[in-house]
Amino acid sequence: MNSNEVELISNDSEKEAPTLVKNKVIKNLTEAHSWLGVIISAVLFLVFWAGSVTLFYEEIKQWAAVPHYPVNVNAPDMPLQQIVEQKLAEYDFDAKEHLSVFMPTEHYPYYRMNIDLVREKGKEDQHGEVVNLIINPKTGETISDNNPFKMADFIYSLHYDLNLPGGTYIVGVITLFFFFALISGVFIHAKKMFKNFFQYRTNKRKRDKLLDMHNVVGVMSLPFTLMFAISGLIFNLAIIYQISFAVFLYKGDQSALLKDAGYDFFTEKTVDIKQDMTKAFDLIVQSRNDENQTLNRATFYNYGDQNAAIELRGSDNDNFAQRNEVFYRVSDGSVISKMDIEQYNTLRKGLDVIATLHFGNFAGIDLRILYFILGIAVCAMIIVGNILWLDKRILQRNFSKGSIGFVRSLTVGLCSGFVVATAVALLAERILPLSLIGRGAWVIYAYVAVLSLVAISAFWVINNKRFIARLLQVTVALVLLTIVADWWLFGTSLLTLWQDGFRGVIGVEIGLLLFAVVSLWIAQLLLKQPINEKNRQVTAAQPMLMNV
Amino acid sequence: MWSKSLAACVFGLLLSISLMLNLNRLLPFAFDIQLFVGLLLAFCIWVAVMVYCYSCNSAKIASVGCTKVLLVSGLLNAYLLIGS
Repeated sequence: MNSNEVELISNDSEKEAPTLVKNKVIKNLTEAHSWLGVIISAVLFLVFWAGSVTLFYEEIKQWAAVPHYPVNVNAPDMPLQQIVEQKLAEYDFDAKEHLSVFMPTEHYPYYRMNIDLVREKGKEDQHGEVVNLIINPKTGETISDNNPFKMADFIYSLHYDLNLPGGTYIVGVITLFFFFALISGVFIHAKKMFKNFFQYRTNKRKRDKLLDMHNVVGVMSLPFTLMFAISGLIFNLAIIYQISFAVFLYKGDQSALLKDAGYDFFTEKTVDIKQDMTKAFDLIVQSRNDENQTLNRATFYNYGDQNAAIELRGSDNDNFAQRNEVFYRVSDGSVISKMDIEQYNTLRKGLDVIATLHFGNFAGIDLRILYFILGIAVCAMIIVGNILWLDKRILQRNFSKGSIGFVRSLTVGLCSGFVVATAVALLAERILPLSLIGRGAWVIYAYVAVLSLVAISAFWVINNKRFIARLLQVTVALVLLTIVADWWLFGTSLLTLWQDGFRGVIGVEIGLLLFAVVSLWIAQLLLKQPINEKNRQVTAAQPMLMNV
Repeated sequence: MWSKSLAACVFGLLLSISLMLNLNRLLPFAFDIQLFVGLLLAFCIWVAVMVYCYSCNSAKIASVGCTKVLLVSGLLNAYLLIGS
């Protein structure tokens, strides 16, 4: 080898070195992307699935409650003061705690009132019992003191805390890994992001099709998923930075931090001198008549005491994602503190904008339908990601059949289980009698029981496609049964509700019908696919059974 | 991969807190703007550190790299927080 050749080789090596490093970086990121993706997949699927359903939270709540307790929209409202005082007389209200009244909305036409009860002796420091009333605004009649319609709240809770203690942090950590998966996905796919933007190969290679689907959904939904990742992290893990900022920047003074963050609190104590509360209700009426805002909630502090205050919280109808919060002193109607478009706080406004973007409630239902489609597309992307990981491991032959079967069964069982369980919860919400004690809890039990059943049975399934298809058919049957139950139980009164403006009831049915049609189509597609005997899938239970 | 995950999570958290505290001291903005920028950037820094850790060939290499940055940032923290 002469000196020129050596020089050429060394130049080539120098050029290749960065490329090799770059390839190694991408390889490491690809491994981490797929490994973490598989680990978080089931919970992430649940978060996106429950989040997609929760986009129609208000409509589902209306669908559940209003047919049982219709409200005469033409009747005059009973004065709120009369309702509040009547309810407070019925319960052992602790006036030193606050009393919250949520105003009726176009979707949910009832007052919701949270009353803190007097705590037992010796337990004054603990959080006492709270009664949650649902009240007809026309008659003042208490519809329920133990919310029997828990389905929408349960699904919403699954979305942000899995309905588990400490679940907020679990979802936060999962969201952090999801954020990493998005960014690492961008690095992995960066070269082809624009070139292959619309690439969807229709050749017979299953892996190409799945990879294209994963990439296309991933790229197209990127702004949407990034927004969800960041906003989800802020909702669930912001406490970490709140604590560190409070400790290091505010020397432990949490209230100074919250004041800078734009949060006001009323901390004055009672003075045990009676106060007429009429002024507070006048302020509520005045606020409700203000066309520039929608009053959502009134919170009373030190009710009936000379030191009483009222906090009115509403949304500004003229400005995007603007919340109005005013604290009034009840004795003279003076303003204690105020947060609105004029008292601008960047953090507060920023968080409100993020929340509005997250919930998609700044436009009509069409936007939420778009959010729903994107959310379901992300669910599909998660499943496809898992299938890609499994296929790769099978090709590499360096994983045991047991572990591959376990991941496959877990993916199939949990992801399809969440869907069937939601359909069961919907049916339970509709058909369980209102007189059933702990009705709300029964809806949750039904959900958990079906989810467990599907998840466990997935470990004994030979053909996953057929299993998923059958589960989709069961889901369709449950959904159709729910619609039939609607009309069987309420008949033409559903049409009256539509005419009265409660369109969420039939709206939910239309949504369910569309979902049933799409599910049936997917089930048919899956059933049409031939069973390839050579590639018959290994169940997670098989190695265990073989060992036995 | 587990050791990389541990390094990614721990160093991501520590570096994001440390860097954000420095930025909060150095940025010439009002408190509410500082807090909002801090909250948004903190998670982005955390994920950036995670990307770095996972892109390294081993958890040890990732930890060494992160420790160097954390030392510098920590010293600046001490100077800015104690100095003030």
